[in-house]
Amino acid sequence: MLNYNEASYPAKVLAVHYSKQVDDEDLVRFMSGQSDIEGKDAASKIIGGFWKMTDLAIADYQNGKQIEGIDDIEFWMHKLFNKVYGYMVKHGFESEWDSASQIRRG
Amino acid sequence: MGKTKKQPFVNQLKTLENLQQKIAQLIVQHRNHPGSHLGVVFRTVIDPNSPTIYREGHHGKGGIRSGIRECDYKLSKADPNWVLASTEHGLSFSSTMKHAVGTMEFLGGFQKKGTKINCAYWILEDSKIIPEDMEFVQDPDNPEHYLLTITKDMLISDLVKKLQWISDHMTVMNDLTLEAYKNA
Repeated sequence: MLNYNEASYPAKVLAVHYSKQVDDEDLVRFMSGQSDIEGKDAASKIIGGFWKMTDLAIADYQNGKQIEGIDDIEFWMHKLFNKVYGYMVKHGFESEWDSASQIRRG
Repeated sequence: MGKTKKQPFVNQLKTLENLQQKIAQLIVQHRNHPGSHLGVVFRTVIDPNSPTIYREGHHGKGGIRSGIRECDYKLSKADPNWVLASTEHGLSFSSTMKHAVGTMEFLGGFQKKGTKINCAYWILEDSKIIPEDMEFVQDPDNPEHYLLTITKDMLISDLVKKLQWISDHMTVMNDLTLEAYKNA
């Protein structure tokens, strides 16, 4: 599961906020550190959800929005990027992560 | 499924391929140097910042003191002239090509149109090259990600000097720059 502590708490706040906006219960549970990923299809779905969350965060950042008291959305989403990317590498879903990155490049 | 949003670098795939080749080459040349398990590390540099020091107005939305973002290091609440040792705080570096390129793309997505996104590298000939009271700590969440931490409380002015020294020893791949071509 994704791990958060006091130092990374703002990353969790954004993870929960944006996963709820994507409106996918599995994504919310994973991003809030309540569940693991079972299988490659589920991993691909979660990774796709993460990139949707990133696009929402980029739009908010560009518009100067503050999310639940957090100004620096870029910094904390970067922390979340490392958590999600690292999870995929450590749990055997690196090829799913790479495929999604390739698709995102167009 | 909604419409897939493309990365803002789609028109620069050739540059990206060149960048990946260059980073892979550096890793092969410098990884497993005696006395330095990392050998070479990479860092995303958003123009016009230096590899380790930020310029005000180009540092994101948080606070900045003497070129150091308040989010990157743990500033003392009692005296903000002091930076506290912490294994959870430090500048972000990549140890692999995939992580370096992925980080450039990720952070590049947040930048304004026309912003240059560079990759800088630091060749660690041995562990002694890292300034005193600093060390790389592997991110427990991501084995390809390292934080350049401080191991002893120090004045922010001393940290700035150390980071400036590191910046002077890093090389920016200016010929392999990505550019955000539209607001994301």
